[in-house]
Amino acid sequence: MIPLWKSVSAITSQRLRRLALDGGWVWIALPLAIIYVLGVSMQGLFSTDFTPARPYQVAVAGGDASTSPVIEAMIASPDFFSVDLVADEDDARASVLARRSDAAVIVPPDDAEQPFRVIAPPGSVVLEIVGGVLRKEIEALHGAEDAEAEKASDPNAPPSSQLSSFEYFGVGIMIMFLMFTVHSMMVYSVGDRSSGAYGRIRTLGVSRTAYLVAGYAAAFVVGVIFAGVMALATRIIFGVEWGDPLAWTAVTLAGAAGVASISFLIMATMPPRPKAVESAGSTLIIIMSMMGGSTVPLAVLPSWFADTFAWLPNRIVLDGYFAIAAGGSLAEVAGKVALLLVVALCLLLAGWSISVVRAKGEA
Amino acid sequence: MSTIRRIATMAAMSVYRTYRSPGDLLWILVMPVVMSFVLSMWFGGFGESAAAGGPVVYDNPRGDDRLDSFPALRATFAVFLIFCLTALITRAGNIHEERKGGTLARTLACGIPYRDVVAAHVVSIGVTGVIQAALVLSITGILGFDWLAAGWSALLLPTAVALFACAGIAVGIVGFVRNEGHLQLIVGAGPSLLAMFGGAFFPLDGAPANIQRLTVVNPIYWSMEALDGGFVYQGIASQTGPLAILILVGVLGIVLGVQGLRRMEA
Repeated sequence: MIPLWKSVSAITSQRLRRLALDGGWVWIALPLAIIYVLGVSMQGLFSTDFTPARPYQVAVAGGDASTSPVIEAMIASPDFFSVDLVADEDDARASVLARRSDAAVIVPPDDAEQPFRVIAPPGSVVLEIVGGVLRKEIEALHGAEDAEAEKASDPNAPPSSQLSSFEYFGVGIMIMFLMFTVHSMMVYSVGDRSSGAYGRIRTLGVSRTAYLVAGYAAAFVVGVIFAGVMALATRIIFGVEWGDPLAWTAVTLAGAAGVASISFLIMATMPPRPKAVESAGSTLIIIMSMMGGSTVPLAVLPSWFADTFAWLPNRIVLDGYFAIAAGGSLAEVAGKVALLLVVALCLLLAGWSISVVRAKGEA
Repeated sequence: MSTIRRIATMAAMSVYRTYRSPGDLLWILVMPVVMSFVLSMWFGGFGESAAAGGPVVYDNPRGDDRLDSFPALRATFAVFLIFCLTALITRAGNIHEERKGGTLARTLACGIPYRDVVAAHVVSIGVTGVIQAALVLSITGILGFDWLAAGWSALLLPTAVALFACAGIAVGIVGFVRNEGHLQLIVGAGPSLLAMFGGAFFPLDGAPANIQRLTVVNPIYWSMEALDGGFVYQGIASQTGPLAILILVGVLGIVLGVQGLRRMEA
């Protein structure tokens, strides 16, 4: 019988070599390209001094539109709004429908207790901006607190809200591809079964336990190496700040262990076919990435949604990296690291139990 | 056997194989429906802060309350487009698998002309897309998405023409890309990147002006414009321009792709 450590290290190093030779550069180049695309596309929305590429065309009608101080405030922001006064609400609406205007504002009569009305496509940025500006100006007229300014200087704002788009997606996309890379190791494991390599290895005296441990170890090591390479690449190319190296190492090790355990559980549960394991893993990873804030910024998600899925392992890793990037130390992320290790252990034990049951009868 | 019947038989078999495979069904049907729900949860209330009342209220351009759910519909349509393009490129790539596996050589040895094989592939790509569209839109519709809020034409025109454009793109790609690895890379990253650059999920208002200009060559952007035109703006009058561009993309893709596939025959 070959010693456990020897067979584990031999299988692990073979898998790493295989990944490196089997188009390994794509695993680095593709996430970097996506970080670039998302970073460039979303930088305006992450910036506090966002200005649209061209001013929004806003048709204004109703009441005393020409003298309303609220509308005057819009006219005084030529970088944001180009205001056209039109005859009535029908003209304003027709202007939006014909796309001559991005939005329309219907001013209520001076003596009426009616609200301002914004006409714009549902879900559009112009709707949010025009509505926000109107609300702010009306509240200012009524002497209300400047809620927006208060919100902007909120010391309790989450770390993710203080990042640039490159910093956010540098971390988020790295975690998503960390899961993909780690999972590819498990697909290799299953591929060995279908190609007959597993059977041949077993006849040479490698135990089933050694084979499974090697699969997990290869996934874990690849995860750590991938995270290290990506951290370096994003630091050099996009200037992503990863914070305290010690805390980063702790989160990375615990994160790689957690992600490897998820893949191990998928491998143990799915039929032993590479395509099935790959499809199930890809599906789960894409869904987890979207729910866990990797591909969609947490600030865009409704707060109830972001809170509901805060327990996902990839989300814990994301929060851990953001906390470190915001200046957090090892002590501050110790709780997240411990939680990740517990989750990793539980998933690994679950996967192991399933694979033991399924392997009954195997020599 | 007549040419049309031969092409129809080959195309039908090809479509049957696609929809019989659990792995393909996962990507063609299950994932789009699941992702639609996830995204609809995010985008469903994107305009609510302005619509909530108080000193400012919100109204959509048509003044129809049913259209307030449009952000969720838009996100779902974008998900459908991504998975449609992914499925069609994957389906189109089967011709190279058949070549590699020897099936194509055996088919040609049986006396079936190569042009019939290519025609059957193009037809099967289109039919696969039509079935996918019908299933995804019907299932999401049954589960509560108000697809007919702006009438049939608002939905059917963008869906049919975007499908044609996607089929054209798929044929165009496989006409020139034979390497399986390269095709996988295009399938994995292409549709998502097109959707992101086309403003399908996130508005491009915050993007630099040059990125915004790039959208004129992006079929996903024009598909979303066609949908916006039908649901939010002036209906068919607003849809005509985007639909014409999508038809052009589809025709160009099919013509170039078929030429590429015929070159392979030579």
